[in-house]
Amino acid sequence: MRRRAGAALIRSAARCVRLTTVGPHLPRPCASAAALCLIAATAPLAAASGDWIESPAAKVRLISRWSAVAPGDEPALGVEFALAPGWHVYWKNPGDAGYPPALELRSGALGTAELLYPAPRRFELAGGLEAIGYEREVVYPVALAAGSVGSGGAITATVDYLACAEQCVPFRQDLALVLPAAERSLADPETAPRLDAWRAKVPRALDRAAGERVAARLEHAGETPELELRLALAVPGAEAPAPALFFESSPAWIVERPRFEREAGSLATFRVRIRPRDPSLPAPDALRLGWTAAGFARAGAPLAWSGSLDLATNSGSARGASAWSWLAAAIFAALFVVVLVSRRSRAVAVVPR
Amino acid sequence: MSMSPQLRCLAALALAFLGCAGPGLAELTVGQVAPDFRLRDLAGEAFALAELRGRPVVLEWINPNCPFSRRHSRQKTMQSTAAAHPDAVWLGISSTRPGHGDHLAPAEFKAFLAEHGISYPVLEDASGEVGRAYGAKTTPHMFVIDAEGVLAYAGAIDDDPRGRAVTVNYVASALDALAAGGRPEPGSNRPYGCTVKY
Repeated sequence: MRRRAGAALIRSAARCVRLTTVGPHLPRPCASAAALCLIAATAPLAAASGDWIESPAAKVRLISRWSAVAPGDEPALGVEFALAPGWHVYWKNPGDAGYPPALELRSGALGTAELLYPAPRRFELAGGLEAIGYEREVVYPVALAAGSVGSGGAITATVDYLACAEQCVPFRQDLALVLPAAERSLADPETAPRLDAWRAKVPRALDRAAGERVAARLEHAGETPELELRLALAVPGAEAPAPALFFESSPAWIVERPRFEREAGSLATFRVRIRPRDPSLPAPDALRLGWTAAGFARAGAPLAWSGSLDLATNSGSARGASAWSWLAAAIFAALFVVVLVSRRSRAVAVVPR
Repeated sequence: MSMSPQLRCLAALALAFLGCAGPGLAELTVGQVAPDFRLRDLAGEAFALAELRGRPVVLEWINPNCPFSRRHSRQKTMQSTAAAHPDAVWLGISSTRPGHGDHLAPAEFKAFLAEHGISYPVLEDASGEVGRAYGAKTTPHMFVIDAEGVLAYAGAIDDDPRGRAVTVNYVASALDALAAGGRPEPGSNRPYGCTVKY
């Protein structure tokens, strides 16, 4: 019963959120929630964080590393979510359902914005389904287009996100932040460490100069056109307390869940089954996949890396065919030898003494 | 106890085989024969896939408490696509587990369908067995089966998860391709929506 009431509340809130962006024709149950939203959205004070925009699933706000920003400095923004218990928002590959948040900056001077994704975690859902994302809290750091600088003033944005618990609710909410201008940018004591901490959780590229390596190999896993990818990481001085591997979504491939293996000589080895999404099409001759490896640490500090693979697949069907043709050739050769030997022995037999 | 090399090899193979069986839900792929099923709709009428041979069949995983199913019901996406392709049999399937907060009693489900002018049958797969056989992951997850009973398309209804602007209705294109004697392209893509509540 309580679940039903909860569901009804979520539904009405979701309707409100949609309607607040569309127009003033609100059904009665929405009026109070919408009024709250409106109060929250009006006239934010200058600060390093915007007002929280709340829903039953999450509250979300725009934050900056600066409490005042100098002309010419990038405003260093992040989108911060505080999620209600049991709710999650998504990584760039959301898993079996859902989608990641999208941010649209509406302050002309800043150009386009892209969210960066801290290392996520996996959520096992009923029915063998999985979600990849974040629970409790997350800050998605914002990457602005190159050369994008601010000079204080109002920053407005719209965030379009899906939050899921037992149920999923899409939201589209307007965020605002007013950054005071100053001669020198001033790090905010509350938001700067938080944004920096989440920025540090965004996977980085492997440092080849420091001996950090990834070795990736594709193998044909029995049945064509299925492939098995083996990805091994070697990183000096790192530990693997909770290793996890994630892949970006691929239109061409279905990527199953990676399996972790501890192997001598590598920090972590993962094996993952991969197959073409549409086997009726010729198998792609290359596997291009973005990966993120998380759950590592060095001297207690969490570590995560990302990179992209570009491996030749030698087309599963072609490899399968070549295996068969090798077999056929071997049988043919064996028959040839048998025939040759038997003819020679017959020839020997007819030689008169 | 020492193991002969052959035995060790066998054991390694067995382990490798067991290790391969990941916990994920395997998705049916295009070109495979669509698994047969026999399910009852909300009015109690039985539907068997095998008895629908000769016509394309569209399966739509639906959950009226999922905002994605609700949006498409409100926008008449499925209703209008079904109406534009009268040769095809359109079936909704609910694999929502009874007891889940999203589960609706038949009367409530029927009221939802009536409210949105949905006249195609909705089949109840309370055990989730059919959903698992197809690897249905989301509501809506769409499957188009050709007249010979082979899966021709699996994936999203369209290219607009956020409900902002549709450019392709994949199910309409798949049905059009089948009607023209061709194969849908793409044959498969990533479905979007809420997870199926198994």
